Amino acid sequence: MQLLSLRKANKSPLTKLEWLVIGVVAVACLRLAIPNFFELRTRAADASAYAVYEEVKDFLMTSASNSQSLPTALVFNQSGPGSLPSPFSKITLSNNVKISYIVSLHYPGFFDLTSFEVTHLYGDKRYRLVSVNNRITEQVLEK
Amino acid sequence: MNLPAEKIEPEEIGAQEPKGDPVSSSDSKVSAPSDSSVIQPALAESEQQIRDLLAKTRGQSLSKARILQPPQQVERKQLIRFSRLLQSDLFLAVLVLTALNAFIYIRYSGSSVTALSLKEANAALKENVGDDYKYLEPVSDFLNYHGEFSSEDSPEFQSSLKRFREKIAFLGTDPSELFLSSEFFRKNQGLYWSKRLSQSVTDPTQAILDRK
Repeated sequence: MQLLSLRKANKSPLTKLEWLVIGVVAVACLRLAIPNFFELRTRAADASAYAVYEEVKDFLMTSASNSQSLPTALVFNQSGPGSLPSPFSKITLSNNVKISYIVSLHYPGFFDLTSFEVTHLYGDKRYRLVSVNNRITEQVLEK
Repeated sequence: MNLPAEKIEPEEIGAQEPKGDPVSSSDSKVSAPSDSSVIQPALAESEQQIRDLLAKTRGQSLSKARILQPPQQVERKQLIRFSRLLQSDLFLAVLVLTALNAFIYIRYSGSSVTALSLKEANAALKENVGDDYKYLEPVSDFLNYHGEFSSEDSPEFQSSLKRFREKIAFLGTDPSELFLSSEFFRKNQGLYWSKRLSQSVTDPTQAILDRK
């Protein structure tokens, strides 16, 4: 009987201990991976919004450093896909990315204020930049 | 299954051993012991010897029929078992899942920053900007508004724009001809206004003098 049971057990390529180790490793990996997969869409959306945020920031900062005085502008509620209105028409929004506002106030010799906020329809974060007289604050806010 | 009555316990086997390590002893390499009723620990060096010993011990408890194999054979068995483990579907599935997880973790690590609440963010902003925070006062409505200004006729937009124009006037700028709701255009379900301001329009000293 013992021989029979041993032979039956030996039919499996792995011992019970090995199966147990594999099971423990698999459960540990799944516990790490499953939340990641659930958040995948949200994180991808946030990454997409952040990419647009970087693009707008580069545009505004480059324009400021090149001494090309940007016109004063107020822009609200711009959703992609599509390009932004003038003077930000070089910036193209990807699908479902939204710019809540761009405030660009340039009073020469008085003060400069630039602020904008980017978010994504399926994301859970808002990316905000506020620059007052070249003092820049970048923030990530809850949606 | 009944075990043969003449079999003895492993302790007794050890007791009958003459001297020294049975594995290293040359005598122990003999596959067939002199007393056929006693299963001696033996070092099997070939497949044939293993088969012989297995045939001899058939029907007996394996715990009492110990076959010592050379280390090379044990290692080879372990290697085969390990290669089977690597080839198993479950192992491959776990490996793929882990690799995918690592990719996602690295790919989106940049966007996994802890988000601040609006209150916390505004407090941090006030601290960072310092005295220049007063310039943010006129646009505070826009910075904190969560709705959508989709029409220049909406009451929310009208009231926010009114407060903005009032507050920016306190900063010494003349908004009389600026930021009129009639000058806003619509695009992408939103609104925009844009104008390049000249020094004369925005000279704060002149604006303050004009107000006096």
